[in-house]
Amino acid sequence: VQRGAAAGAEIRLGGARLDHGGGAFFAPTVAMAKQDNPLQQEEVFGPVLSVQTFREPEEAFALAAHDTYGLAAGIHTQNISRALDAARRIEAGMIWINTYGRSTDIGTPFGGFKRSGFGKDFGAAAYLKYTRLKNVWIDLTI
Amino acid sequence: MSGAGPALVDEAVAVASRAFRESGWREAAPRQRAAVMRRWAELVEAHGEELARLEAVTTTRVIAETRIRDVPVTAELLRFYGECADKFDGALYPTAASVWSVGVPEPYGVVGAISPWNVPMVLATAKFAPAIAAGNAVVLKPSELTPFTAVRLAELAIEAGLPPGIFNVVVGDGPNAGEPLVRHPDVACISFTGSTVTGAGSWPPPPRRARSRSRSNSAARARRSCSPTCRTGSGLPTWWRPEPPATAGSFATAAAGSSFMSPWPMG
Repeated sequence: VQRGAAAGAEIRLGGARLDHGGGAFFAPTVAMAKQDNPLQQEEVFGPVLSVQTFREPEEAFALAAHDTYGLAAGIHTQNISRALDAARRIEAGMIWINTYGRSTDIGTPFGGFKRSGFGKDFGAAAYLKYTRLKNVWIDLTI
Repeated sequence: MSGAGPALVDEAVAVASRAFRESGWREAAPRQRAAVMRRWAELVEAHGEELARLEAVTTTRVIAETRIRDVPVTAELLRFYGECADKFDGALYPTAASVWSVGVPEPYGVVGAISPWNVPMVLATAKFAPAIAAGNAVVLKPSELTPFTAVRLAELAIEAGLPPGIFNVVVGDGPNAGEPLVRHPDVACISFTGSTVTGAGSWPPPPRRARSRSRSNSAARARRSCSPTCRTGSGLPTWWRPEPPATAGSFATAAAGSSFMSPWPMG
């Protein structure tokens, strides 16, 4: 968060450690940060939300086309055509429509694209990754 | 936590390899494997409060979540993948009438799994449960930051009837345990979740011992064809911590040893 602020992010909420007499606590944080800011380019393992704004869907698609990562994306709209078009166009391993972070059913595959990973955990897709296919030929003329 | 080094990894892989060949787990009827996975799930639920507390005390997960989510999900993952054991058939391919050509899904052999610290019990189970249900033997290296529930799950596996040596946990850090595991020539498949730097920067590593070109190529292909998943992020220190803890060695070795209840003499 400090690096993000130094690079121009605007901290709107939180942004600092919380003192609860020990432990490792960080305040819930909301930051406005541009695309090249570390808060947009790197994952923060903490309660930090990095925000960018857009006016047209095309701007949002450009922002979502992250150089490095593609774990998940969320789309909020009541326009079903727009939602499905966005789901097709965004390069991410998981797309959430009118929800976010929903991956609670263990039968669904979890995993990202690009440098967010390859392969999946969870679901039958993951099971099949732990098997390999052997092709056996039987000559019936013998 | 640290402790395991290349020698313990070698021992774990040797135990797993032998169990894969000789324990009968791979050859058992899929419903029998599923039954063991169900019993394992029941034991996880029976020890649910213990596991929920252990996970909450030793990781960043909070008790409210380990009770209502992590423990039930762990049990259901064991059931889900147990059920997978007899749900995927092979194939009879179109050929001339003079032959039958069939496709047979097989386990790889020894699967190496490396799991992260953020949701330790669930994400470790998401790797070893499908691998074991499919008939593989597993050597799991959980994050050295959060290895405790994985070791307990290995103890419960034995209680559930999993043949000793099919599920092994080595407790150590990336350089000393993870790297020897992924380089081990007898590990046929790697499943990894951790930092992008570790996952993408050094994957797959070169074989540890000199081997013929064709074998090492096939090993590399096998690794790529399995499911390493490196989650987004620059800072998930699965393989790295700034200061190794001072107390870990003896416990780690003893705990890992408890999952090495092998019927075969080693060495």
